[in-house]
Amino acid sequence: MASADDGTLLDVRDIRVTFHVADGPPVRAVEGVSFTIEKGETLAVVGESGCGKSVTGLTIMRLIPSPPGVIESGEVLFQGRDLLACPEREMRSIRGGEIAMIFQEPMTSLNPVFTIGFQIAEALHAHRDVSKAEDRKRVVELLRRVQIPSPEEGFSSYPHQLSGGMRQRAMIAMALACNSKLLIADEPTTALDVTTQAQIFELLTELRQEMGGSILLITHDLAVVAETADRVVVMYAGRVVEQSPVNELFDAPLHPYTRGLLESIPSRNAGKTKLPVIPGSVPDAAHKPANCHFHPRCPYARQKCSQQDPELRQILPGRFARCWALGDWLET
Amino acid sequence: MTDDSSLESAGKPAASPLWETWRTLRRNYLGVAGMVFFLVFLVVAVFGVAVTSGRHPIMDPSHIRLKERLKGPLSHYNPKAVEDEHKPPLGVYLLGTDQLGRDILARMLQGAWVSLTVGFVAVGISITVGVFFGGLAGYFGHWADAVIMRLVDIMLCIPRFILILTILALWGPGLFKIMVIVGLTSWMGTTRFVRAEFLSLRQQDFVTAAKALGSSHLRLIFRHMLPNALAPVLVSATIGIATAILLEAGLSFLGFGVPPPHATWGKILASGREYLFDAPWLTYIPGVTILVVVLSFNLFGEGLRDTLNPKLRQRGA
Repeated sequence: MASADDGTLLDVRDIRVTFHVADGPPVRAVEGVSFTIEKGETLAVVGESGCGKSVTGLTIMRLIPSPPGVIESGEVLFQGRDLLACPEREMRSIRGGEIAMIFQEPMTSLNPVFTIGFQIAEALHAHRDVSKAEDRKRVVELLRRVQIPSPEEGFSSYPHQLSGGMRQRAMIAMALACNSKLLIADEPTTALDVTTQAQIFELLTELRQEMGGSILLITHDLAVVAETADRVVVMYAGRVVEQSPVNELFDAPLHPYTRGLLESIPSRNAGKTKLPVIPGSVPDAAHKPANCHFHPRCPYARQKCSQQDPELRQILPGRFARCWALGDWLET
Repeated sequence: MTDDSSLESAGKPAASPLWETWRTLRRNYLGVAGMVFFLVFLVVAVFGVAVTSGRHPIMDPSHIRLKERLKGPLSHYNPKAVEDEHKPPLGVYLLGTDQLGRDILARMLQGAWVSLTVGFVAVGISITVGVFFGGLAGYFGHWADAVIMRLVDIMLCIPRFILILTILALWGPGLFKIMVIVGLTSWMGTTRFVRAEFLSLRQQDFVTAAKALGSSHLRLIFRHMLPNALAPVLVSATIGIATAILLEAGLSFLGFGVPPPHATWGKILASGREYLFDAPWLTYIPGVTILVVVLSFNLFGEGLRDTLNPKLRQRGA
């Protein structure tokens, strides 16, 4: 797809991840996912639970628990360097140094036995030499930047004494500590209530603008995507089904799955009619339908869909989708 | 601290975990009693080594007064039979004398120090080995886990007491040897605890988060995960000290303990056996002391376990 020109920060090419379960068939969690992230861009990866979006994020960091997980093929080019091929030592300096990651559960992503300040200082120490004396000052400064009220007190608090939103802020501060170029945010607000969500995203957007880094946002929340992302990758059953700039995606979704997703968002004035849903449910990751994984649920499905695998094709400039129906529409 | 302290602490700097532990522990009266005895024992043992060692100790545990044999507790000394420098403090044999006229109090004090050091050094060794192996097994899993856990199984198959007796019989008795052998044969429980903790910790988000920050394996194991696994280690250490003291007493009783003239509780007990009817205090005093110390360590350990159990703690805090 996109060549590694100067603007590209991360180029994920055709990664495949399989989990080998003790009894039962191997689970192909990610089947050939590709996308790129430009410098300063926020790319959202959207999809239902189990579609492989978190696995994609972990693959970039090479944090797939192995076994059972195996990264079977693909390349993750970060500034031209293949992360899947570089030695573990080098990977360690990239983790947290150049790519930082924040997780879904701020409740459990902080070590319960250490104070917030200690943990952020750890993040500082992991990648650069900072004198102990400077530590406190820098950590308090970071806590102030992520808008933790009374950062001095936050410094010596234990995670269980903070609210979910505060903890996620602390996580962001840890990610910031390293001044990384890419932040992978794996459902950073799923566990938080809506007002806190909004604050966290405001904070992330602000910080991104301030530091000029990129964000890979993994989420299932389309409202969040509309607010924050520049481009969107929609995943279904381990594959990218559509990739579009955010406004175009919401105005005119291409793939039937994306269309179904957008239609099933309740809106305020549609209260009287029954909310449309996508019929059926997400296929079991170990037993996916052959060829187009979406065809059993697709209103536009035709015979071809179950017999031949569609490719991810450019449908409109800058917009890609994996669908036979669209291809036919394109030709006519 | 009142009950609404959890509300207050939302904005305040945290109460330390130690303080919280104490707040929960103090509701457990047996546990607190155990802890108090534990501390008393520590003080007595340190005091004991201070008054019974040196060239001219205040109380000489090995001085023989043949004319003062088998005197009961609280009996006065005979000024005609004993030189002034060897008279017991206060002029009274608080705990009596043994068949050679040695002061039991002095011997018990000297033995306390032996028990204390055996307990702590042996447990120190076993905890170090156990945490190290358990951490590696639980963190890396797979073949590291298989190898280490099979080693544990093998070690558990060996009857420990017999192994210790054999080694001591081959290389001769000695305090240091006992500590090391007891330590090196009692780490398996800790390994299992730590491994189990690590197996569940390994799945925790904060471990992945720490990994995502670029921590190395050793840093993850010992810096991020180990402090989370320390609670059961602490508990098993407390109970382990009791076991080690008991083991040392048993070895001394059988004559495989610390070589004479050094006194240990087990030896006092062993030599008192022959005078069970004439001088029952020779058996009762060390016997009851061992009982009380071991019991208090166990109670303290169990109190700690209940306190450090997060479920009970939620209720308490």
